[in-house]
Amino acid sequence: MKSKYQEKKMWRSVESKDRAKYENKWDDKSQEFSGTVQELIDKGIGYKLDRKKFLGIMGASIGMAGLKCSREPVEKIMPYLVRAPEAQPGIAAYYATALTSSRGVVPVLVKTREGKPIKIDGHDDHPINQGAMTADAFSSIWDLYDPDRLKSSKIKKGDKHVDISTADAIIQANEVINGGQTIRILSRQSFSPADKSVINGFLRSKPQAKQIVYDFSGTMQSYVEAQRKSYGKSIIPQYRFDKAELILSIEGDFLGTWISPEVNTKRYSNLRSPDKKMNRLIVAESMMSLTGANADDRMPINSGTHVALALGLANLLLPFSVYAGNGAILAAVRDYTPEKTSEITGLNIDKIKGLADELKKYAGNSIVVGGGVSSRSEISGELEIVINLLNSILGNDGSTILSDVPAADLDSLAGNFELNNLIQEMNNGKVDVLILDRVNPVFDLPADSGVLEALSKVKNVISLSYFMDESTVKSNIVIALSHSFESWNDAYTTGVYTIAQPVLRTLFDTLSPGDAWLHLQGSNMSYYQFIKANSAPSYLSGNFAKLWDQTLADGYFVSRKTSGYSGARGFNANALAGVGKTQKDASGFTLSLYESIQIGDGQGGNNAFRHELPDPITKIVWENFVAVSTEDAKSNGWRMGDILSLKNGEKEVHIPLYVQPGIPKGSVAIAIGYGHDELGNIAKGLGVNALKLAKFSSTGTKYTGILVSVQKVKGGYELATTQRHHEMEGRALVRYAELKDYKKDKRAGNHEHKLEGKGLYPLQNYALETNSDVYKWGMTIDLSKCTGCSACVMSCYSENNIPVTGKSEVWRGREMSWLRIDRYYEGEPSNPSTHFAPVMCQHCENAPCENVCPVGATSHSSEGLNDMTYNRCVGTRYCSDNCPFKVRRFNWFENQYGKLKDPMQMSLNPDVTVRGRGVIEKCSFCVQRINEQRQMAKNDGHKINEDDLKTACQQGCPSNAITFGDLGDKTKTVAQLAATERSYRMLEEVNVKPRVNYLTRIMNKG
Amino acid sequence: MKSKLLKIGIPVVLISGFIWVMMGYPPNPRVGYAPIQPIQYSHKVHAGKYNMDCQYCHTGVTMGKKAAVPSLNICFNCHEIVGDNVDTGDKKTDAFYTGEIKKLRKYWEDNKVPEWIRIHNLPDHVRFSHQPHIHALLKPGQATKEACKPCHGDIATMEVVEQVKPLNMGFCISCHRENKALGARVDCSTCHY
Repeated sequence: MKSKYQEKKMWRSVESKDRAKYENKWDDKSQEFSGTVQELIDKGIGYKLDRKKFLGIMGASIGMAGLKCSREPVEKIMPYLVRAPEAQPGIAAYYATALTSSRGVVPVLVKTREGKPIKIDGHDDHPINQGAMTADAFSSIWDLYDPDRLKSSKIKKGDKHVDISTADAIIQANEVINGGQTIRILSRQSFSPADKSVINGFLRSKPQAKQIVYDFSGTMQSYVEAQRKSYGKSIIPQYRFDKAELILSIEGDFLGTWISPEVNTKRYSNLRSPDKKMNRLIVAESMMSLTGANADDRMPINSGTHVALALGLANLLLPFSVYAGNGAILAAVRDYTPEKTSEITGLNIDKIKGLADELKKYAGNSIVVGGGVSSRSEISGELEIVINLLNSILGNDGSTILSDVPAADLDSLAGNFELNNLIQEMNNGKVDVLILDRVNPVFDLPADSGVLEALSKVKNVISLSYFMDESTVKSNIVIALSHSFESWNDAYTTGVYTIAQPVLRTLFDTLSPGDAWLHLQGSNMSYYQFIKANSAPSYLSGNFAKLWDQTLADGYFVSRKTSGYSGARGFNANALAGVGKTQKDASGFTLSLYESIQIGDGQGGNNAFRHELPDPITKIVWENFVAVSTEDAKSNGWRMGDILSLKNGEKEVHIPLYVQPGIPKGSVAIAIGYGHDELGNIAKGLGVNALKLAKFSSTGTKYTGILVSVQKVKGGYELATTQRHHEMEGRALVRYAELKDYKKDKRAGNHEHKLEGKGLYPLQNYALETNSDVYKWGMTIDLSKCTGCSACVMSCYSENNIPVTGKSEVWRGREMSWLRIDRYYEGEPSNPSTHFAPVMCQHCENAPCENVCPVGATSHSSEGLNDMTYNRCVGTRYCSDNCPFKVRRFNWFENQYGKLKDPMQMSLNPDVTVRGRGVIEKCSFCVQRINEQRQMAKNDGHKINEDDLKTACQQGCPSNAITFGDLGDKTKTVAQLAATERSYRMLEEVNVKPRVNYLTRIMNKG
Repeated sequence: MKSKLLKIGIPVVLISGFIWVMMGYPPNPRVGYAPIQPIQYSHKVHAGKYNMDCQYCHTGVTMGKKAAVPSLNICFNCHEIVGDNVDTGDKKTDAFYTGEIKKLRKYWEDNKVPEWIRIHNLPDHVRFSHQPHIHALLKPGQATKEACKPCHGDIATMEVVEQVKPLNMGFCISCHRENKALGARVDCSTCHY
């Protein structure tokens, strides 16, 4: 008999669920397995080939092949002139440093070979991050080697920018600054004390100068504004998701794009072990976010009504709290009865009441969280204020939300009011010199802020920038900046002081931001000296010289530690003034803007790897789209591939449509960060800039609940997605069970397959059976912990020299990713459950690919690895055809050799072959790491330690979902996990015997 | 007439071309490769006459993938003072080597490095690491050169270094097969990944 879980059908897209209703075009099967060559030609391969032409081309190829033969090239060896003791060619050196940006600080270890950084890894010893990384942080290695980076400073002559040396640009800038009557500095928020004090030094020396710090996406700005209004201080407290048994997220993507998602994921996943403690995640949101996809229970609410839901919950919970007698709070929440809240948000009354009951049950032991781009309304921090109230009511503030050692202190962050003032000042011609310090207001601020026109009224604009972005092209003097890895910096977050050291000398004629600011105030000091003298001593108390060296080597210094309980702060009821006035308009569509996992606020938009990374939810690459609910698509007759026009008054955008399950009727959503006009060759013109539709005012920027009229413009557009190929024919590849069932039966949701007959092939004979010294490599992936964040995918790209192919190739199913994350929906399209499964080469013991290779290019190693020998491969693609998991990728074109623009080639890992055209490639279980560790362990006379050998994906996983190691050794974690009742292998029924074990996902449904 | 000429001529040309390629193609074009280096450094003098250990210069050989060509500061551990008067007994040779040492000093003074021509060069799809080989071959108390010999030949006797072993896949595999007891593996991923 089949269990209840086996009966459930999982589906990957609305089209595959409901094939009859949709055109063939997006029907998965017809796309993946095309019928004939003629069909392909009709579909637009674009080249009509008749017999004569075919013979002609073949003849030419044979001729060309002969011409290609040449003598082996002479290779040169360049020794060091004077070799530093740690610079041994061929041996990687790791440096502890940090990625510092406006989004936060990520402590990292940078792997360098022959002086070039080639891979970023998480810093496992760091007390806060514990090695947690995001896909975005992994891809920043390619920001360093971006060929479109500013290679020298520039100065505007007439209409054009001409190159000048950075030293000259500083001299020019100093002249301009010294002649300026009013100087304004527009900066981004920084977590570096040295950064702050160097600009403060500038401000002290120039009394006519004023600094305005703003936040690109507004996530932190609206957050700290709410904190200030509610509790008096502009801080970001620590969110201890590792202590909260119930998490309610209202329109907040804390696992994906909210403040430090990597730390949140690490802490959240600590409580996702069904055998120990399981937390429960409830998400109420209008767009399907990564957090929503991971929810145990997800409640779709109408776009722009999140504040009403929070107020409705506060209304229900208030009588049971210490704030029960507070008249001001009562007045603010009283109107939001369950009935009214239900009417506004579109949620069932019982659901709202049930939610309040559950929160009450976990009072003091839960976290309510929300905010970010998709919740920004006219009143900055509106949602966050009500959420603060909820946390105060529940007593979470002080117990799971710790303010004694805040994650960050951002008291200087300006809101829209200050920005608006600056724009007015600029418009009135009152600003002589405007210094843009690593900001791009023309792109970040909605067009109706008028910043573009205001910029043209400023006589002298000096831009400190990494790229020629939308604002920098309007500047008179451009000072080229160095990447984070080329500069000294420091950071102070969560009581931990970090020194970010450079890992290579500047590639181009650039200056680090700190050095640029020192030069701009006429100082000859280097920023390194400045940090050492002015910033570090306040954090490194004691023997400074020793502590400095130690901090530099370790990468961090714990200066303050949280006690674990900070005590509840008093909630200021005045904060609620004006909150909750926005209402859902009954007619028309409401639009929410959100940040995508890959691109975020768009700063890193010129990185091809970020664009090639499929969106975790939609699996769409290389552009943004408008996500529409299934009901709306059906009732309006829209289908995938239509271009919609979204109109908000005069403002209009044209954008392709994507039908997204889980969005409530009447809500639509678009990702920001796309549609650059400048920045670089890759970013330019990719996607649509949705910020056009946002509304800027002096109280806040409205990113959500924007009323739009939606019309179909035309059809026939193709979005490239990785989800319509890799059809798995409806087998139970992703298994899950509810916690209550799991507690009764450890094998709930899991099932075994009886093998009929012997299976496809005779079993491989392993040396293992006779020799216990031989490793038996294998992996486990805990689907309970995997959040689908895709950090592993980017880590794999970086480690294994995987090329980017571009939109048109992904559209043909030719992306090169060795590790993909399959996303399945289950249930009704209006609010489905979402499941993720990372799939890489399963290293089958009975690998079907090995039997069909005519040249023996893929074979089995004695340790159970499915080896791929590139130099043997002739490109028949039989193995790829025969692979049941479709993990073998084929190089249809020369993707790397001769294609990488200088200095992109420096990012390649010299330990992994760069594959050429016509070769199959696939996951190798990071065999280069295995070999290196095996040799080292052998020299020392022992077997490989578990901690020494980690695959790139395992290292990249912030939630510890991936474990790798020796399955033959029962003392190893991987072997123990693989032996649990939750463990299963994909397609066991065909007897391929995969070495990758999946652990059934356990969901804590209510 | 014309067609008959073609009928016989084409196969003759093709077959003789084929034979020429098969016969004329050296068994391994690399064996015997001994290019002239920018500085004609003599291993015979250093490793032979003065019996210096290989690892004095090739510092990475026990640690990692690359044995590493020494950085110039290693040369100047000795050549700071040594080498003004080379005395081999043959005036012509003396003059030659004094000249070569002058070249070296010129590089050092100009802050430049010589671009050595790589002799033992494996194809790019082969991953070779010196470290496990040296660990397996070097017996305690031995001079390092004994461990280098199986692949590099007796470098200490070479005036100009040349490749003596084919260093092709057959060469690697046969040795790996013989030394399975030492832990040598013959999986594809031993070298190709």
